[in-house]
Amino acid sequence: MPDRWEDRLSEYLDGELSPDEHAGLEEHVRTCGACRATLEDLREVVRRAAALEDRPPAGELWPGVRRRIARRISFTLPQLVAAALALMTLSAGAAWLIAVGGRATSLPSLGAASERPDIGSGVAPDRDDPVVRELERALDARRPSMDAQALRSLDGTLRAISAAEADARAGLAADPSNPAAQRRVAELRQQKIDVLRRVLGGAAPVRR
Amino acid sequence: MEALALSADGQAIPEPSPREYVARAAAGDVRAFEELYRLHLPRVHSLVRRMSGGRDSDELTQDVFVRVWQKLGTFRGESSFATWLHRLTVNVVIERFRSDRARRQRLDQSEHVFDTLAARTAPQELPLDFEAALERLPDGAREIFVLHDVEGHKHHEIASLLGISPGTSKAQLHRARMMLRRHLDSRHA
Repeated sequence: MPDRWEDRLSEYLDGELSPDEHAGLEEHVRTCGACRATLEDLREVVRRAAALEDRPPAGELWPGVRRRIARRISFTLPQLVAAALALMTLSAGAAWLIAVGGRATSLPSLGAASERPDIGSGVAPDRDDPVVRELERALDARRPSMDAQALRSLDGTLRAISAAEADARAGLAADPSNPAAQRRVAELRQQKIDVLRRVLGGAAPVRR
Repeated sequence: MEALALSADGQAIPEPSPREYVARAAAGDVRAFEELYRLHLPRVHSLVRRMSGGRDSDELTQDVFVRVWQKLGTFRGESSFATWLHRLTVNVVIERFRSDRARRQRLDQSEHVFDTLAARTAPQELPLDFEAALERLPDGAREIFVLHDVEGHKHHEIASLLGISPGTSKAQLHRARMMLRRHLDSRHA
């Protein structure tokens, strides 16, 4: 029959008892052979757990991983354009509201967003963001091998996101401590990264 | 690991460091991601297998790496990549089996299953291998034992991860250890 101290042996082992409890249990263990034996067993269990070795699975799992990440990056460009433009509309609207202090009564139309000054036939490289910069360099390396129409759609998408991001940054500059504006800028950056990663997708960047 | 590329004069270019693999994979380089996968697969699969009791461990392992691919852009390098990956792995497994009601049931689960399993082992047969015995622990006790004794988490961290109290974590850990001590060697058969 277990004594009242047996349930506390793990806490004793792990140094979780109060000083009084620790002293009490230590005294008990000196006189109780059963608890002493159990304590030694628990020490061995802990030692075995710490000594467990890692081993790989029996089967090859990479093909399944590869298929699943490929599904996530194989959106058609029209789907990407539609999704990105929908996000841009919401983002631009939110950024515009933030910038004017929420007093606006209507969102800018999609047309208004696309009438912004062209930021270039391609996408101006983001010199301040190393992750985006790396992705854009990888995209530039692949441009010669990409379909022209797909490339135009992609550039349109990226310009739309960049325009929304510029709006969001303007809003943030007007109110740097605004958490919604900070979130918006971060979300748009992530959208750009997601689009670039999905397009670059299964191929490694061309090596120089 | 084999070299990934050759220079123009055919010389092998030095292997990228693990950090470079992370950066390249974050930028969408699937080959770099595969290198990361192979480097960390034994650790991830072992953690998944032990926490899940071997249940769906291959599929869960794949889930982990798909999640890594999705989230790699958020890795900022404040911790090591291995630490970040460990936390992500634990979260994936917990999410799969998360359900407050199911968790309470697992924690209340009788030891009878384990006792029955032990009873089937005739005294003269060898006891279960320690890791096999670990995988047969009741779900809640096993998760806590793996997180504490195998992975080194503290009780307050485990409590936060699993949505239980530190007291429950301590009690379940002791329960797991007491069950496992039966399978240390033949004197306990």
